[in-house]
Amino acid sequence: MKGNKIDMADKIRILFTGDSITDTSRTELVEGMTKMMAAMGERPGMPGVANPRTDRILGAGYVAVAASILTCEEPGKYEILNRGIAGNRIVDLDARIKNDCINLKPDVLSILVGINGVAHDAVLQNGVDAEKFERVYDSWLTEIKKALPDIKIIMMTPYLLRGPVSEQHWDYFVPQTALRCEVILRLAEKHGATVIDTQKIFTDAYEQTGNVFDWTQDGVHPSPAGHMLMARKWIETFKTL
Amino acid sequence: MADKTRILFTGDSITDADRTNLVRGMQEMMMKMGMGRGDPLQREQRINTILGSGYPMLCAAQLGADFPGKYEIINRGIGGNRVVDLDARVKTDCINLEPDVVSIMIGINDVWHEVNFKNGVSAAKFERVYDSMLAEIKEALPNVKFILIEPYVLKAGATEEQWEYFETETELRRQTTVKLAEKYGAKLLPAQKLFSEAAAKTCATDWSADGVHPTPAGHWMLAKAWLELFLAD
Repeated sequence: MKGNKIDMADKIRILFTGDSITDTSRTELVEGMTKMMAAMGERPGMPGVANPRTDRILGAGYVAVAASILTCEEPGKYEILNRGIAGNRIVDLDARIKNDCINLKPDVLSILVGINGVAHDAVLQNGVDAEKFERVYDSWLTEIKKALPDIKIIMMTPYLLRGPVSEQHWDYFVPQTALRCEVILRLAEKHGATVIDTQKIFTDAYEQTGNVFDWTQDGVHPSPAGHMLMARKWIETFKTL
Repeated sequence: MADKTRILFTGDSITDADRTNLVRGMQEMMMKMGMGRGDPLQREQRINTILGSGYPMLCAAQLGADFPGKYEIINRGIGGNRVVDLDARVKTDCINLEPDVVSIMIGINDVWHEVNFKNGVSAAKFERVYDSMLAEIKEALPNVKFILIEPYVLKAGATEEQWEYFETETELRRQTTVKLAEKYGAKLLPAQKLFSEAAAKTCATDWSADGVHPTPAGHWMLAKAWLELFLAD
């Protein structure tokens, strides 16, 4: 057991966080696992502490794909955690910055957030405007960099294709999402983070086939193929860090 | 949709990889939202979008990225299944879906459930049922192409106590799989060799946390081998 722990400490810990695109059913599976553990009389994990039983669950999206490829290519080298939660906006990530980010002490942090700040305003009057998005995201990054000065950060831009979920508010979604992308470029520069232009991945893919369902389920959530394109780009970017 | 090549993955928990959990979650949510079970066609379409988090999802992601629009991937793996369980649902979860390609990975629970629950399937019966199931699929779908994935076992948490039994009995199911692949002109994925060699290079738990279920790395290793086999010739 002790040997195991030392082994774990040597691994590079990569933390993914964000919204449903990162979550991809993870929270649902963790909930199921937690219920099962409770039924078997096992104690649930502590917040802010890595838990081997539930941390193994990475969801079914680009995080799981990237983790599978990366750990197959370089076995034993990485520990990968997912803390994406569906529906999250930057303010939600800020609310759980300690337990679900800083206290886990990641070496590399990858974040994809922004679309719910736009979409939740159009649909639920509960969004985060571009100005607040920048202010909170900036403070979030500052707090993380202060607590973990050596951390490497990958910031993924939000993206949109025209599909069932996005077309109703298309004229609002497009410029608003573009504003969030500009913010991300500015903050990446300021905090020395690396940006992945996710919008470009999906725009290019869409131009290739002209069918939104090849790459997304609904214009917002990726198809398995869309997740693969994200994972490939993510690995390529990670290797340049 | 009709033009797409339909690929069906079936098997046990290794193929399931959280799929049935997510299908159950989706169905509970639909009930909560007062949608009931929905109409059967829509229900099936919804279920088909859920591929789990293992090698079938990875294969779907890779094929979708490289050959957009060409393939439709369906997963019907169910955790805990033995060959007799696959045979019990051969109509609804295989033949009636009219797949062009059927990929099967089965055998480890036929061994494991004997150890834990005295509810395994003997090597002789495994061969008899597997053979008859493949024959039935082939008769109903004469043009179907099979990919058979060997069951495999590594020495780790779930298997080390009864290691000799696991090793010997899994090997028997593996040999049956090889024999049946030959008989039905199926492509064979030699999973045991794949996992044994990977484990020898690093350690078993890099590839399977408990000796039975693949890690994410193990799933990608399976997916890569599957894709190579599928795309050959």
